[in-house]
Amino acid sequence: MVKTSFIFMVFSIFIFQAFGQKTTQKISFGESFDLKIGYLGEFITHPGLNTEIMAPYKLQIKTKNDRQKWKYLSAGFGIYNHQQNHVGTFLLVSHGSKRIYKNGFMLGSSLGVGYFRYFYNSATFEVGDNGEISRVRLAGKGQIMFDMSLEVGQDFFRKSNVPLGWYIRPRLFFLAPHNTTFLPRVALEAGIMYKIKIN
Amino acid sequence: MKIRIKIVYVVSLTAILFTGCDRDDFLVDDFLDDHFYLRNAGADMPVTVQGNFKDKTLVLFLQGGPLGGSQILAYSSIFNRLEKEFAVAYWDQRATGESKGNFSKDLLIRDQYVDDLDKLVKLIQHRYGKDTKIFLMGISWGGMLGTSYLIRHHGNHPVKGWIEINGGHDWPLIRRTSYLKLRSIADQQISIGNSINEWTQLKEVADKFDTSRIDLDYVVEYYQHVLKAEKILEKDGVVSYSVEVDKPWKAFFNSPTNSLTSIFGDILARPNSHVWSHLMTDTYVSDNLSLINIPYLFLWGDMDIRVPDTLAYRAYEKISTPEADKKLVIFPNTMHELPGYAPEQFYLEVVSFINKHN
Repeated sequence: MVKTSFIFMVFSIFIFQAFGQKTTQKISFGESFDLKIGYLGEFITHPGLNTEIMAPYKLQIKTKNDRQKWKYLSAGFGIYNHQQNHVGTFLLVSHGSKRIYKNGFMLGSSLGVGYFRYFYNSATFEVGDNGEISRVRLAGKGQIMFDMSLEVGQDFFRKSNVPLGWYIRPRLFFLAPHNTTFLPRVALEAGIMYKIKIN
Repeated sequence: MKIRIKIVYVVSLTAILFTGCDRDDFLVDDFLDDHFYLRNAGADMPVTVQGNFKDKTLVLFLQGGPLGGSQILAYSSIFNRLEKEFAVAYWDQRATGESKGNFSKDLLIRDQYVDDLDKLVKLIQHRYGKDTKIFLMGISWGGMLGTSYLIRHHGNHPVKGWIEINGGHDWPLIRRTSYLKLRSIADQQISIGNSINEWTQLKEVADKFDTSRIDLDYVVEYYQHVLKAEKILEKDGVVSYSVEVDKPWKAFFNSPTNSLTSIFGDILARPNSHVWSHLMTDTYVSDNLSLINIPYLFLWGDMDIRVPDTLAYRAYEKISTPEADKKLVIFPNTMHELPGYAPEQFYLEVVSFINKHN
């Protein structure tokens, strides 16, 4: 069941990214940048923050309905706090695409890979074989992280040249190693985008 | 300006990271409210401790499975009621619930779980004092774990009493008796006219059960029928489960547990399959029950098909606990998850046992 859902999601994202073409415009990497800052809720309610900088490298415009399709690379940092459990932090690089319609409505998806490190936010102890107790400082673990996300939002620049937008982004993280295998986590992100450099 | 932003960033990050880090104020007005992790052999296992600690009595709960963790029980009405009498420690065992870490599947064996429990008992004594009166309470797999611990560390543990609830401490005996219980309940239900077709089919399953088969797949398939039988008993109103979740919104979204990762973790690691596959022919506990001599309370459901009450009767005879310090209670019309089927009687028996022996 889990395996089927996973394959379906990966497949859907790739299909989603493959659609759309027509006029293609190559953009020099670094020509423009978008900055994202958003609330990151692991399991929705474990609060945190995500920041991401996105550098588009390709723009396709579908002439029929003037729909833009951007491809971009991004790098981001996120942090959240699950009370009496752990603080999760991560650094992530992603590849994504987003379609921006004439009215500014935006749809996107991305796949990323990164490093996840969690710290327990309660005291952690080790007990030796002879019963001696020691406290472990900054206890937690590092994991490899894979991230899949979908995105909906509004890009105000498209319609009114205001360099802002908003987005909502359900995310699925896969973290390994976890116990004897790996662990999926879900998160919901919502925030604003700001164009810090416009080509 | 830039420096100010950096300072705000670093301070915010540090505050988030260390908010809730070790507190020394876990005991307020004789009430324990604590949370910590035990690290052992690659696993980091969370422990929530809550409840009345006026008499320094603590009940360490051993979950079933091993699956699902036990921290979520801190939100159940039954345990919240117990917390008014004693402190209760909820421990998410290795590879269950919110426990984390990185270790080999080879460590999903009883001996490792017993070692984890031994370390936890020592840590509890260190954290709350050597004079802490520890009672173990285990259900299903927790029964196997607690009993194994008491045998392995007999004469050298601080446990004051053991409450075993439908404990699966003897798998060969479960295999030899579960189908008999299923058949007996099927006969009984057919005789009173309840779901006759379903029970007739289940009786056939019981009749065909091959006690010599010890492969896990065969047993798992049989247990699918047992679960079906339990559902029929509930549907026909023979048994009724009545546990409430206190503060369900908080339990689901803002507690130390995360239901989704707990479920995924269980499905992916399957700690119960690994543990039980090593115990199919194991008689370590049944061979050594006589090493247990501490106060012992057996709580069993008369309609428990998964772990029939034969185990309780046998163990009651075998342990060395003096007659005055052991008690066997069979609850009518209750199944495997006993506390939920008879919350009031369960509460009264537990409180009475602990008050007598602490």
